[in-house]
Amino acid sequence: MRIKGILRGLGIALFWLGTWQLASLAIGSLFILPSPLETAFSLFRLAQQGSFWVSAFYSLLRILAGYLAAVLFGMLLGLISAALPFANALLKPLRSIMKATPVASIILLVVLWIHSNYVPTFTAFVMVLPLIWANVQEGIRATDTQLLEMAKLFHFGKVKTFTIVYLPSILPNLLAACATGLGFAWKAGVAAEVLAHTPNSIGRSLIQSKYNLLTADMFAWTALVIALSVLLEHAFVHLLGQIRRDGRWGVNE
Amino acid sequence: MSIRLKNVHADYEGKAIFTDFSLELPAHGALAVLGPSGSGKTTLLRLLAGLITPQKGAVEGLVGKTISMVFQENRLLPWCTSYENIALVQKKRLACPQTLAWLERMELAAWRDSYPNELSGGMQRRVALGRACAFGGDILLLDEPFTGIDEALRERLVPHIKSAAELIVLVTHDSEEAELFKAEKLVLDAV
Repeated sequence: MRIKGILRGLGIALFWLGTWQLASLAIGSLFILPSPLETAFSLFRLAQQGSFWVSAFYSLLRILAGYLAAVLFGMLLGLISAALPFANALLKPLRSIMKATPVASIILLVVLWIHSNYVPTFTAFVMVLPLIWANVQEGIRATDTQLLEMAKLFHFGKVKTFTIVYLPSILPNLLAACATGLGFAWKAGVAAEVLAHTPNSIGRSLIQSKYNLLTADMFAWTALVIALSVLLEHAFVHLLGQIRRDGRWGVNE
Repeated sequence: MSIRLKNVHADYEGKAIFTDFSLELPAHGALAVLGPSGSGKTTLLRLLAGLITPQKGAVEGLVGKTISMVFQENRLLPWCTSYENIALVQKKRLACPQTLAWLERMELAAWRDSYPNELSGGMQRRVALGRACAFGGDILLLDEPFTGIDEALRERLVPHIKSAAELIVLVTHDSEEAELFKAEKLVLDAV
């Protein structure tokens, strides 16, 4: 069954690589659409340079920093908005603006305000924050009122009610938002690196390849972005499984 | 001081359930509240539990008293095991031995590590009963406590439940359940 699944996956991959190869042959121009093989060669060549890994490392670092900050602040703002109606009314327009503003506008504005090193971090932060914020707030709002009444009757207190009732109720919403946000952060972060010409970054390498008409290199950098995105997603799914197995907020004997 | 409802007016979802209702509860033992659906049995328990306050009148004699309850629904935490659901309502120091004892009494020892969704309706009900009994206190309010529990088991459970509190107020449709508790009976009329 497992071998059948692997073969099926390989077949699908080969189908799309073949389609790409055929399209590349049909166009017949390396500058417009390099073949999968040319892209693989570029990727291999770039991977032998130290700067390739430095760029990948710093891109990851910057974007993950923005993402993690957004998760933390989003949780905090979600809690505040759910607990205090006035704070919710006051902060709601801010969240709506963040949600509606195009990522390109955010990046171009932020470039004027902060050093290009921090633009991807800030962009990832702004893209993910409203998502986490809204989901935490909704998770709290949707907490079972019957369980809350039970907690009150059995004198749980504020801290215990939060950790035993609210937190597990928020968790499914929060984890779903974190998973979606990771993809958002990664794409927006690389876009920010492109527009801000962030030093030692995948985005800057991508735009430099374009300036030098090295389309195969552009494809290679894009392949790296996709590979890192898939890797992050898998790491997150693994972590999620771990949290579901071990991270219940029960009592210990 | 005995517990009294004095000239209580109470609504449920906009409908007047009690109008100028007065009642004095026995100091100990058991009181069974019977009556048709919508007669205010659950509202009476919620008033005694302090989960709702009367629009008019007062509930007296509850100050300083600890109240435990089995709700009409089980209200178990789905992410906690049977053990955890019972242990959570107790002081940490006493949680382990008392929880295990209540699991035994509710005949659930073999399911201590099961989650609510892994238990039958009757077993879930027994976890809810075990939790309320483990919390203990002066008054134990039971809202149709034996839903999904067979007769033989009910008879075995009642002595344990009776030992958990000074006074038990039991809401039921079944007068045989009242007999099991040797309870005084109060019949509420339909509103």
